[in-house]
Formats: sequence, C-alpha cells, structure tokens
Amino acid sequence: MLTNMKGGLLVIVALLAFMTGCSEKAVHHGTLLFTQAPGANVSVESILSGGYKYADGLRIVQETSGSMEILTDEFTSARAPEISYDGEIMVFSGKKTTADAWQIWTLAFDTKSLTQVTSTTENCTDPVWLPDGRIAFSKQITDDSQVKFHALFTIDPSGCCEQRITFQPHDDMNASVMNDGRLLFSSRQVYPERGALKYLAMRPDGTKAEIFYLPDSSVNTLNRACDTGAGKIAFSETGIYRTINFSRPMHSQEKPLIHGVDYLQSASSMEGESIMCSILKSGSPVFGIAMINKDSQPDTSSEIHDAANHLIEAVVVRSRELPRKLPSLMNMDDPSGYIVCLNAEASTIPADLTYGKSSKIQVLDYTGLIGETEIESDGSFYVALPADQPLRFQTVNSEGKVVRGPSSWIWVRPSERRGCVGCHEDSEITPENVVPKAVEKAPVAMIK
Amino acid sequence: MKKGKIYLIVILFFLLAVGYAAFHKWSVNHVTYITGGVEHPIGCISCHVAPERTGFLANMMNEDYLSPINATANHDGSRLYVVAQDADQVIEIDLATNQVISRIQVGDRPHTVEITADNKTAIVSNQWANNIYLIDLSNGAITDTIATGGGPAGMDISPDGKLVYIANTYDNSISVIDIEAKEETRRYQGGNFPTNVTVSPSGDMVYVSSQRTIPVEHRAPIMSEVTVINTVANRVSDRRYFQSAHIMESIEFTPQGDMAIATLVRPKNLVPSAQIEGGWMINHGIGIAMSDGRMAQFLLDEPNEFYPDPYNIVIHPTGKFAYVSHSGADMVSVIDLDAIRTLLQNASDADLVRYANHLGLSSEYVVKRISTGANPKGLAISPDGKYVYVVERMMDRISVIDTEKMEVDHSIDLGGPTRITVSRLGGQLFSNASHTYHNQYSCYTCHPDGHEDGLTYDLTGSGRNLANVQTLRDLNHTAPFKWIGTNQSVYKQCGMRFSIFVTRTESFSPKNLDALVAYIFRELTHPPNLNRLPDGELTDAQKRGKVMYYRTVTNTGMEIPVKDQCITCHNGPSYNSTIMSDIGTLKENDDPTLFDPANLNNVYESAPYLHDGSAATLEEVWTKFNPDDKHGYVNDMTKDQLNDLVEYLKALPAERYYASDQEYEVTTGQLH
Repeated sequence: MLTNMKGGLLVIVALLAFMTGCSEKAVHHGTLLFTQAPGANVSVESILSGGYKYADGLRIVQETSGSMEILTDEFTSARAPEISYDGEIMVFSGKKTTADAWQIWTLAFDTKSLTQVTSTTENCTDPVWLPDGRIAFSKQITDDSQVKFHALFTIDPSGCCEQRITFQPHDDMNASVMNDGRLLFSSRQVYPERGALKYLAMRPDGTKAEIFYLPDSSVNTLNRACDTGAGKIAFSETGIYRTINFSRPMHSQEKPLIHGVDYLQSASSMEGESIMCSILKSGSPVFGIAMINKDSQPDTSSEIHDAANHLIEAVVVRSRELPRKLPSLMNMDDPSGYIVCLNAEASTIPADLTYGKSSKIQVLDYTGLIGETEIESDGSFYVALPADQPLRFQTVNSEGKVVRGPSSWIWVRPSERRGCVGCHEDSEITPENVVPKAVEKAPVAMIK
Repeated sequence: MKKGKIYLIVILFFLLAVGYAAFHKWSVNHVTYITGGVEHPIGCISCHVAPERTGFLANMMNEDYLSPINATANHDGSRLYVVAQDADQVIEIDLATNQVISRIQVGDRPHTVEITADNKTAIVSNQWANNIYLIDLSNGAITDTIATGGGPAGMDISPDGKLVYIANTYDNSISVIDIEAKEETRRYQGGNFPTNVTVSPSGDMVYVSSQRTIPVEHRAPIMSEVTVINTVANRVSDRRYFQSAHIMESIEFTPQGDMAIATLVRPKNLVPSAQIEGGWMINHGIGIAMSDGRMAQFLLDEPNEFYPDPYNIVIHPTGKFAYVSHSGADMVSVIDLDAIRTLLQNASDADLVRYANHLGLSSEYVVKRISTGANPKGLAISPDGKYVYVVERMMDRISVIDTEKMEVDHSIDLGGPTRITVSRLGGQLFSNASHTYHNQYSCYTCHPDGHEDGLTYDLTGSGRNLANVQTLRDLNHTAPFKWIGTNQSVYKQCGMRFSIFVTRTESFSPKNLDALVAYIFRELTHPPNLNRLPDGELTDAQKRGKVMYYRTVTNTGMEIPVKDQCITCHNGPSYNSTIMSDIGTLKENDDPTLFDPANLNNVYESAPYLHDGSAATLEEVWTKFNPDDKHGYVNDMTKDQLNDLVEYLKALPAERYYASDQEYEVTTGQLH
C-alpha cells in the first residue's frame, strides 16, 4: 500500500521529536497523522474543490516509524485531524454510519479514549483547537435565508457550551488559528447570490471580523491556512500554493513554484518554518505528503505516497507554542453591538454619483430596512445594532436613493464595539486623529 | 510528662492551628482583595519587599544597573562614549578591542554625550542637575560645569565646533553654550518638553524636537513643535509643527541638508478605541521637515505588526539610509531615504495626509528590520558609516550593526549586573510592546519616562468616560488608583480588565505582573522640582500660596468647611487621600462617579488637568471648572491669591526632595 516512504521523513520526524523534547514526551509525539481518501472513490477534482469533505470511506491514519495504524476504525468516514497544543489529543470530524451527520470527536492518544463532542443532526466539520482549550468548527445550518451554509461555532471538548460565532449567510470554513490568537477562515457569501472567496480574521469570540485576504475572483477554493511562525501565512488557493505576509496580507501574495508539483491541498506548520503539505506530483493520480522547506521547495527525501489513496490533511503530533489567548470583549447581557464609522464617504468603492451625497445610513437585514440615521457633517455615524444577526449597510441621499451599497454582510456580537474608517475603506489606512461628531451623542439604536 | 504539660502542648498546638488557619484565611482574603479577585499566586514579598526602594531585603533583591541611554562615537571612530543613566556615568569603549576602558562619574541623571571635533573633550548633559560637564578625555577629569536651563537633554555641536545647542526638557528652553568661553550665551524658548537638537550641515539652522504637544483646545488634534533657530540672525526664525504627532525623542539632519528627520508617535487619542485591530490606538514613525518648507510623516508600522516607541535616529554619511531604534519592539528599522525622497518628490498635500496614516507604505522604504536586545534607545554611527551602535538600555549592552550586511555583528557588554531582578524584568516588560495587540504600544508609549503623555484617551470606544493619562512616578503607597479610585492595586489596574480595554490581548502572567508592579513602584520617580529657589526654599509667591493652601477661613473670615479645604483631600507625602469626592467636574459624557484625589507631586509637569484633561492649566481647574467651590473653596480668592496658590502647587516636589522640615506633614494643618 505504502510504496514510497523514504527514510528522510523518518529522520525529519525523529529530529522533530528530539527538538520538541522527546525524552519527556509520550511516544506518539513525532508521529504523522493524515486523512486517507481512496483514490477509487475520491477524485483529484473533488479534493481540489473541497467536495471530498463529506465523502464516505475517509479515514485517519497514524504513521509511526514506518508502520501505519488506522485510528478511526469505528467510523464510516473520518477526516481533518488536528492536534491539541500539548500534543495529547486529536480532534477530528467523523461519522460512524453513513446515515449519521458528521460530528466532532476527540481521541486521547495515551488512553485511546474517544469522545463525541458535538451531537447534532447537522454536519460539523474542520475542527481546530483554540488557545483557551475550546474547539472551533464549521456547522452546516440554515436560517431565515432558507439557504444552507456553514457557520463557525465553538464548543468545549466536553460538548458543553456550544456557541455560534459567525452570523452571516456565508460558507465559513477551514478555520485555523494564527499566532496572534485570531481565527483565520475562508468565507464565501451564498445569499442572496454567491460571492467571492476571501479569508476573514476575527477574535475567537466572533468579534472584530475583518477581511484578511482577498484573492482573485476566479479562485474557487481557499483551504485551511497555516501560520508558519516566520511572518508568513501559507495556504492552497484552487490547489496552488500561496503565501502572504502576516503583516501585509492584502498586498504581499507570493506564488512560489514548487518544482514537479501540480497541486497542493493542505498545509500545516512545522518546526523551522517548514510546511507539511499534501501535494499532487506531476503525472501522479493521487495526492501524497511532503515537507516544503522555507524556500518553498519539497524535501524529496521525505515524501510519502500511496498508489491507491490520497494522503491529505497531514499533521505531525507535537506540542506547540500556544497562540495568544485573546480576552473576550463581550457582555452577553447586552442585546446590541456598536459600530462607529468615521466617514461613510470614505470608500474604495465608487459612489453612484447620480444621487449625489449620502445623507443617511440605513441598516438592512434579510427582510429589508431595520433602521436609519443621519450621517453627521463629518461623515461619521454611531449605531447600536442587534447582536448576532446578519446585517448590511447602505447610504442614501436626502431623497432615499441609494448612493453606496448595500454592503456585504456583517454582524456584531453582544456589546462588541467595532470601528471603521469608511465603507470598504483601504484597510491599511489608520484614521486621522479627530473626534468623530457621532460619538458626541449616544449611539442610534437600529432596532426594527 | 505531667498531664498539665500535655494539655498545655495540645492547647498550644490548637491555638497555633487556629491562628494559622485564621492567618491563612485573612491572607487569602487580603490577596484576593489586592488583586481584585483574580487568582494570583502572590506572596508577601511581591507587595511588601520587591517594590520598595529601601530596606535590607529590598536591597538584597535588587541590583544597581547601568541603564545606558545614549551614545556617540568619536570623530576617528576609535572610541564609543555611552551615557549610563542610572549609574550617572559616561562609559568609554575602545572600539578596536570592544572593551570598556574607563568609567567617568558625571552628574545627576545624564542624558547625552557629544564629542568636540578635536576628540579631546566630551560634553555631557546632566538632566537632573541642570548643567553640562566638560570632560577632558585624556584623563577623564571633569574640567568645567556649565549651568543650563532646566533638564538639559539632547545636544548638538555646531560644525565650527564653537557652540553646543542643548534642549532643556523641563523648562522648555534651548541653551546655547560657547564651548571655549564655557558659558551660556543665549537661551531660546523651545516647544513643549524639547528633547533633541540637530544642527544643519551648513550650520546656519538648528532644529529642536519636542516630546509633548503644544497646548491645544480640549479634544483638538495635537501638534508638536520643531523649533527652528537661525544661527546667523541668532533668533528663533520659525516654529514648525508636526500635526497629530508627539514624543519626538530625536531629530537628525541628512548630510545633504534636504531633510531633518524626527522620530515620532502618532496617537489616536481622539478616536474611539473601537478598532485597535486597524491601528486605532497609536502609530509610530518619522516626521520630515523638508528644506522646501513642507512637513511630511511616514509610519514605520505595518498592518498587523507595529514597531512602537521610535527613540533615536542616525543617518548614514551617504545620506541614503537612516536607522531608527524602536525601544518598544527591540528592533532597528533601516530606511531607504531615496525611496522617501521619491515619494515626496511629487506628493500633493492630500498624498502627505495619506502617507501619514498608511500602514502598508512602509514596505516601500523600510528595507530591513534588525532585531536587538531589550529596549534599544540611543544610536551612534561610526564616521565611516560601517557600524551602527545600538544602546540596549535594559541589557546594559551595546549591539553593533554591520551596515553593509544589515545585521548585528557583535555585542559589547558594558559590565552591568548579570542577574535579572524582578524589578529589571518589570522594566523590560514596561518598555516592550509584546504584551499589547500586535505590539501596538508599550506601557512607555503612554507613560514616557514613567510619566504621562499629556493626552486623554477614549478607551471605552464610546465617546464616554474619557481618561487623562496619569503619571506613574512615585506611585507606591498611593492606592487606590485610576481617576475613579476603583483599583486598589496595580495588580488590579493592570489585570484582566486592562487586557480587555487597553492591551486587547492575553493578560500579564502573574510573574510578569509582579515584575511590572515592582518596576513601577521602585524605579519610576519624579525629577527634581524646578520651580523652587535653587536652595529648595519657596519663593515669596509660593509662601503666600502655601498660606492659601492651608487656610481654614475665607477672606471674609467665614470658616471653610473641612471637606472644602485643600489639605483635607490633598495631604501627606503625595498630597492625596482616600476621600472619594464629587468635585463638580463630571461632564455630560461621564457616568456618575466620585473621584480619587490626584497626587500633586510635580503636578506642574502634568498638564492638562482633571480626569478628562479639560483644564489646560492649573488655573483653569478653578477658574473654569469650579463654579460651585466643590473642588476646594477658592471663589472668594483674589486673582493674585489664586496665582499664589498655583505657584505653590507648582512647587510641590516628590517626597524625597523635601527639606528636613517635612513640610508636607499638613494633616494637622500645621504651618511651617
């Protein structure tokens, strides 16, 4: 089955285990986990498009010193392993029978004890550990839009205290945690029409969501990204390897050419700025696993291939430095969140000049207008919005004609305070240091 | 053993057990109270020994560090002279061997050293002694002491070597010293807290940067002055301003003379702090005063990654690169000045406004970030431009950057203590921004030199409950903290709520919080008060003001209620108390609250005043914001009496500067 495992990977994994203090770690540290997808059932296209995510017959395999062990024998299908920061627990998504919905599970390496985390009729997938020990994942849901989409949730490993953290009719998926403690996830609007893919970043409590990276509109998939720890975010974009700088993500895309590799499916960070990736080599019918070094080249001595199976979503079992534990800004007793906009006229999107200057800001939900208020003479407005629901803004002139908008969907969490320089402003611009007129008054409540 | 003895032992054990249990319960409650209910493995030593300045145990726990702050190389590049601020020393280093070859004891709190063109004399500014020393470098002897204005800091020598220009931080003046005549020949009015000086290559212009904004209307954008002295006309020829910027710690002309470049900080104190993610709290960069009269600013930050507290700048002899130390990020930025020139060449006024707020633009002119040791402050460049020397204040070390490779080549140990004490760790934390969201600001950013930045911030992000930054100097034993006195300790002040509203990232670990408390209480001190006579006595006006301060009856002989007497709320060594009061200063955008009386030591250097910074001067505290005598009974005072009172208040020094008469012991109303 496993036809081409080279000694190099073992050396690297052993070295990694040594560097992470193997003498004090359990034997599972330094082993490799990946999702095995049968090549007969799962096409390359399906992997590139993300369509494989709910396929049957997937399983999680642990490789230890050349021997393979299937960790998810009890499951019809299982995938997306992620390792806790202490290297002791795997979280993954799986389903025991074909009739089941996909759920989130954990497996403790030392006791082999399996715990079901979510218990729902909806599909839950792509879990990731948060720095505070909770788990974030995507759940397929519907809301008043009547459209199915994925929202992000968090939950305790015990199954307690599930909480939804994204509130927009988008497919919010592939969450990962950056070293600054924020979640980075792919997001695509699905209602009222399908939108472009982007990465959003937000705090783990669902506050402060903002665009982190906006790829070309032709991009079909953005896979789970990884923070390399060296100032780079690495990911796969429609199967092609990309990196962006953490410090200037909107304007720093690099397209490293990986010699002999057609596609790259997943990336997870390793020690020493290397990336563990799933790659499709030229001429190969299935994805294998390889290390990509900091110069974006594969370590050919470390490749693993299996002629019959795709090997994807690879991660090394190891303890890692905890990202920042960001404190929550929320007060769940407050039904509102607050937005102060410094200048509604500041925008990178041209206004419809037919209708002149904006005089009011309007807030919309799925059904339409829920409130409006005057824009101050300096362009500022300050509103209290109903928390935890999808909303959009638009500006109108004195006759009610739309000048800008409607905007893309946004949400605010209870008591969250968010600010914007303008509407779709350049995210690299910081505000001029002046008091916005709007905050000299109480926020205007936008309640239907 | 007799039964009685056994009973006695049992009873003693019982009492000890009960006593221990009671003490344990009390101490747990005490710690819980002190830390604000947050779980914290705090020990007695954390609060009662580590933060103290005196005492056997405190001395055992602490070390005398050098804390270098600035340096300069001599003109043949053979020596480096380093100012060790806490040790009151100038340290001489042989750059051929990288060894310390002499330590020269200088005046109180030295700031800067400059070397005369003949390499024979060092000039050292002693910031807390209000003078400069001339040092004969052949033998290390102090040959002359020359009086300056208050708080001499940055200096520069004219190209002909005859004059040294000195920024006097504490009295907002600029001294001109004739080096040969050894006397001050002129004194100019500077900006607010002038900090550093640069003389143009031709010698006809002197630019002086300042740390604080000039006084502006309440909640109006700040503006900090670059004072321009025309050395031919011998006058201040211009006062140029960097809008929305302050803390210009240093300024330097390019060799071409086309730009004078200052390090600066761009606070967003007027903007609700609702989106720190986008740089809505504080940005950091450089300001450029161009020879064509334009003023430009460029950020050295990046989106998601900030480089706080730019302190010093040096420019390569070719004028192509500038090096800026970020004391809050342990980093030196290398700036391509030709890239800056290109950006400036055709920039419109709108472009300049955009550049000043553009986080992404730095990728066009910052060509390298070079990591350094803790708290890089002063920089010096070798005459040939091959090396930049980085003063690592919290490491007692110099790092040497190879400018061609743009990397640290080697380090020079200055010989300070190797042990990192609790307080020293606190100093490193205080000056480093890694505990704020995306490293956007350090404690130092809002509390430069442990003081305050003179700004009022909207930390709730709602336009309400604005907070004027308070000094951290001489804070021990003055609890509670915060304007509204809700924090019974710095543990609580800098605890979880602090991380939610201020740092916006993971809160301090208990170990780091201990260290921070120790550093703040032990190390941050007020400078000497300059408003007294040289012998420390009060002037006549101050003496009259003291009478007003202690008075118990009005001008008409009516008894002033105790609660309305100054000394009721402002007494003791810090002129404060725990009496929470409504002093009638609440504004419409404040939630109802009472206020904790502010400490008044060195209050003269803490403008603006009141919790929201609405009083521009001490006078305004009473002329504009005390119509009903809620903040002391003053409305019967004549103008002269109020002026005298203010003069006295301005003369209140820190506790350790009091004369032996302990005049602050006013709780009994006793006059001295």
